[in-house]
Amino acid sequence: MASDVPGTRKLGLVVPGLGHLAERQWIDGLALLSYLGILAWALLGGLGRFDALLFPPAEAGGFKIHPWVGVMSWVGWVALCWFMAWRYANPVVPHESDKSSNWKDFKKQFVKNRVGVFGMHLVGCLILLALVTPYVAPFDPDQIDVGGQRLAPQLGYLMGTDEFGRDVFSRVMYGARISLSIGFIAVSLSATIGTVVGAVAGYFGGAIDKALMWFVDLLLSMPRLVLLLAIVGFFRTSGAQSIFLIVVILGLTGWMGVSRIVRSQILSLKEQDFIQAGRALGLSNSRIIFKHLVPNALAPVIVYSSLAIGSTILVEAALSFLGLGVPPPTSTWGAIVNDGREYMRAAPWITISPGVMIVLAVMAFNLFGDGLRDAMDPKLRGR
Amino acid sequence: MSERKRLSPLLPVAGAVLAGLAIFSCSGGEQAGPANTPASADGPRDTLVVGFQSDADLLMSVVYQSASDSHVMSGIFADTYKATMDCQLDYKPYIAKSWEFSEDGTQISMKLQEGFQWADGTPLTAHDMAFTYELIRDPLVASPRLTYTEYMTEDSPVVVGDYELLWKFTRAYDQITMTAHTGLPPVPKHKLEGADRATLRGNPLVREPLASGPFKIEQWLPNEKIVLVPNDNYQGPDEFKPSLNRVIFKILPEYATRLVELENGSTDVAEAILVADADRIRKDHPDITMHRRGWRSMDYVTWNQLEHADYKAKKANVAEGEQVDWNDVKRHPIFGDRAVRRALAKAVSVDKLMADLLTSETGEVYAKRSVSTITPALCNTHNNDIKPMPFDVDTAKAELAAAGWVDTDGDGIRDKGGVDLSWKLMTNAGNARRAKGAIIMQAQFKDIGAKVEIETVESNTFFERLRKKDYESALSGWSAGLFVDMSTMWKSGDAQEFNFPSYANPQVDELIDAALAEPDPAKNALMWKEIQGIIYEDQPYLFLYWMDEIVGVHGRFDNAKVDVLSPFHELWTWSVDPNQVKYAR
Amino acid sequence: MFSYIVRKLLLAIPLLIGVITLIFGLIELSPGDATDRFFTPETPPEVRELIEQKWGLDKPAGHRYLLMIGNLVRGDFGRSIFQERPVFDIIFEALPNTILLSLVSLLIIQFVGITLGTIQAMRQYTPSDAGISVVSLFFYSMPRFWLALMLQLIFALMWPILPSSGMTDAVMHDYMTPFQQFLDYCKHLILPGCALGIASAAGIARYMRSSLLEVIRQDYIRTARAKGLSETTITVKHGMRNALLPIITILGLQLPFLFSGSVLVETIFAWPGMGRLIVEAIFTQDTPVIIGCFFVMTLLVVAGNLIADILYALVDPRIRYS
Repeated sequence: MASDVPGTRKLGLVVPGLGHLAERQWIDGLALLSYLGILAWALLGGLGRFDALLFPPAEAGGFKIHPWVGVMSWVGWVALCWFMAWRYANPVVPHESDKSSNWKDFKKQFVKNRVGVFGMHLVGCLILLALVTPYVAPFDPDQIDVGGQRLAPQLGYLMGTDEFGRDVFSRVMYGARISLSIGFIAVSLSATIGTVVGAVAGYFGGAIDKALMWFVDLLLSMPRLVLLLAIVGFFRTSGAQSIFLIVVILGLTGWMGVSRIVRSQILSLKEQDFIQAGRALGLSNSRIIFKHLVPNALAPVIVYSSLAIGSTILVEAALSFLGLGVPPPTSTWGAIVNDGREYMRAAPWITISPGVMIVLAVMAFNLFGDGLRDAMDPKLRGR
Repeated sequence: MSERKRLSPLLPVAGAVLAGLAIFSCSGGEQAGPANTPASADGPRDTLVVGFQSDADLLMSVVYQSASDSHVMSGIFADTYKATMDCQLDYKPYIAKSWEFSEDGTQISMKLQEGFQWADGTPLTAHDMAFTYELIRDPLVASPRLTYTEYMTEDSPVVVGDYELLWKFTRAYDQITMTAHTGLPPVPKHKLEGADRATLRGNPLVREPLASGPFKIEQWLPNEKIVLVPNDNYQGPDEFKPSLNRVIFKILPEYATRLVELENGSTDVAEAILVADADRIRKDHPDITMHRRGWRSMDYVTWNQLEHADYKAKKANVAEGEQVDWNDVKRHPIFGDRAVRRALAKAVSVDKLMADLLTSETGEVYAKRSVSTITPALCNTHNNDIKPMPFDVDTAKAELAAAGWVDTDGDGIRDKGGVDLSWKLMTNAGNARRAKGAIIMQAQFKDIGAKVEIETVESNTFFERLRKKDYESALSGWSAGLFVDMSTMWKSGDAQEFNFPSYANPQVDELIDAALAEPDPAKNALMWKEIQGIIYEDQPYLFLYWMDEIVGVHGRFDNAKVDVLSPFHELWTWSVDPNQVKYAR
Repeated sequence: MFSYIVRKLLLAIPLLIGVITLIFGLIELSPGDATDRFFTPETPPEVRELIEQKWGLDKPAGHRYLLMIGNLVRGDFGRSIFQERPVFDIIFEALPNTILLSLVSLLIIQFVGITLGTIQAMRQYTPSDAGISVVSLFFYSMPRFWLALMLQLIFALMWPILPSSGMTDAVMHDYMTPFQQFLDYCKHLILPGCALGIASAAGIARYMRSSLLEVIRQDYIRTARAKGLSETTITVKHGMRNALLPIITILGLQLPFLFSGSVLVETIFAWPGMGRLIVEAIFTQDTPVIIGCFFVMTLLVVAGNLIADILYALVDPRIRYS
């Protein structure tokens, strides 16, 4: 069987991605090449700066963790790329006696959906860029007068400079880390809260269910942005405004959708035999909920969450745009768009660039999430 | 399959939209339909469209708050005086025909011009003026203009006749300021006599004012536009009769939108144009004239001479409303020392700041070095002889060393007695110019061995902390006051709410009192100049620069008055040559 | 049917109360007050008391809460602390403008979204399907305020064919003929309407596509095909009726998103609507206006959902007779 594998795949061992391209696996091949491209960029960008970045002098602020995270991710990602190429060249032959599990089915289904895979790799590229930003970004995002004020995009200043003379590309790169982190953390928070609420409502039913769902409807009937404005706006002057507060508030306003999903999942799972058995055995309620019900309900939550990351990034950008987002000097994409508003005539690239990045990022998460959802949808299987 | 009628959800929505549009087309807003403006005898007149930053709220002199309010009011209400500015505020007759100071300077007898009337035909008399000041004094009204009456007697102004008033003061002070304090535009007594004082701001007259001046409001669409037309009931002197058909204040909160609309001709005036855009507009639109308003606002760095943590502690121990004796409070190790402040001033190149922040690409500088909190526009009172601190890094270093600040531990930062030459510079969020200025200064301070940490704070909190003296140093700004009264900023003591640096110089305290008591502007100007000189030597602030405000006006307007007093001053004089009229209606 | 409506209306009441309570609670918890601006350090205590009395701030929170509910029920929204005129007036000056904008956006959403989705379903897997999908996704992933800024940049700055702000031409509108005025409104509605609606239209297109595809696979469609009806007739007449059902529910749910979006779009296009109003009210902490706005907004959302429910019932007879 191993001889059925074309030798051209071995090309991938030299440069991951070539093996895939040789077999016309365009998406995977290009994805691997993109990863390598970014990794190479990071390496080249870091040349000469490693010392300063990894061991900064005390007066520049001392030890910083991001460059180290960057180095470690770089190493890890390179290893991953080569592993994928190697795996492609020496694929695992499925054995007759291997049991098919849900997870394996799901993986197979997901891989079939090329668009979803494309989305996944796009997300991967974004995450990788965010991780190695200290090496990729040519300038410090807060450094002023890097070459001139309000320069149009050109070689050396890929997205131009702003009114302070700061490099917009570097700012957008560093902004990516913040926007993506906020997205991930806030959605994780939402998912957690939503799962707990939905599970409790679904499992216990009755008055608890009615009350919780009424509360969910209440929150859902309020426009999310307006609610966020109200909360952040009211507490602004208390000096508590900070990135943590924003993340927490975003998390607290995004769990409603998850709770509904979990609840309906639990409702349908509740009556199944294995749960009845558990009850008969005398397992405690919380054990049943969290060890048996919830894990089975998680799949749609993950799908929803990956789509939610996209919408969270959008909402956070809107908040920053109105001036109620993360306070300066941390700059998220929305804040950069806001900075550029006054200069729309003089330097439109300040608003255009972060906006394009937002669109790319949200598109990536949407494609990825759609792919996950299609893979989980039994109706689409066997197409 | 049965052919049931399919109710398309599209239909009702489409119907609703069409109906909505039809309704909107028919209605015109608060007041339907424009009045038929009579054609002027000298040919077609034009419409002026002004881009406004925010909507007006309260159109009544006793209670107004915002700049938008005052712009609209200056068009629709007759003022007591016509204010002009030429090195000092100069008041010309308007409603007040003539006025005279008494011998001892504590009284002003004023004669009013007859002929002014309210839009409902009622004549505007001295009774209206007296009533206006009665309202200001009433605590229920909570008027922001209460300070105008600070030195007036309880019955001031006394109505001597229908067109004659006597203003009585408890003491004489600067005559220009005294005149200004009598200059609040009157409100119609016959309309407001019985009005509830506590809810005066909710009185309908505040949103539907009774005009007394050259213009009146024809239409006010909230948050959209305010349309002024000539007041046909105006009976005053001819010099105030407007030469335009309409003035439209278009409300555009976004700076970028105001700029776009100026450029594409949708509006004719835009104020506060950024330096970055001024050049470009000049080049691309030669038909738009860039006016410079004059030195209206300045940026400065304030050093808190008291140690703020200690001040806070002492303030907490003192009863509410009581003052803290500054002598009891620890002085700040760095800023409490005059010599250090003077040295730090030499470390900052204000010229570089002005070049980076307020100079256009063609090299035009829209700033001027500041040496005082009195605007250079008041050239009679501003001390023009003060030599600004030179930018001299070596001398700065030497002076710091002489004051005991030397780098003993080799970390690049000077220290003295275990304390580093390091501090926090607080600035408010949302101000790009100050943010950048702070970064530039941070680098310059680093060069002389000082470490500055920039703290960006939300605007409301920023002002709170300044007032409470809860800061070490701050980069802030002042808007130019046109009355000279340096007491609230420079007299010592907690009672002075704007003395942010905790400045205390007994000589200055005495001089300020004397200047405030001197009615003759020429004499008190000398005193103010001396005070400015002393203050500059003491360097409680690092005085930075005055900024010029740029206003763009479409070139077809002759007599466009843009000055320190207003970006669109004396709208009744603005006119357009008949050949260049853009809007014939 | 009638009882169905009544039931839905009754359910709306606790929802309204819940929203108001939540907002009231938030306001109580937050520091500061709009009335702070009336006070200077020199304001004597008697004046302070008077002003607090005027705004009813001297009463305890519970008392104020009940008063507020009572007033809201009677339609008395109180007075704005900032402008000192009735909140009712302020809101109802701004509301029609937002509703106009929202309705136009909804129209765009429906027409564009449904049409595109239908085309996609009919031409599944063809390049046009893929193309529309990509474009759809592109706009769906775009922040609404950024789209507004870009539209303004392109169509009002670089290519000045449309007005850059406002609801009407500030100078000439009152002098236009009714027809010209109608056109003036249309011209001013295009950019903000698109900015507000395109993202949702893209979402609807995606939804419509999958919904229609699902319907097409069903048996009765195969029967229609077997009967020899044209593809278009099948899709439009038979398929759409059923595919529209989930879309109608979504339409009702669009309202909260439209409100969120209008906050941003109105700010950028200087549109004098409720979105702008609520942002200003929050920034100035003008409590009565904030509460009034939330109340009205929730009412509208409830109304929107109710209309969606009714339409759903009308189209799907199964509901009507349940």
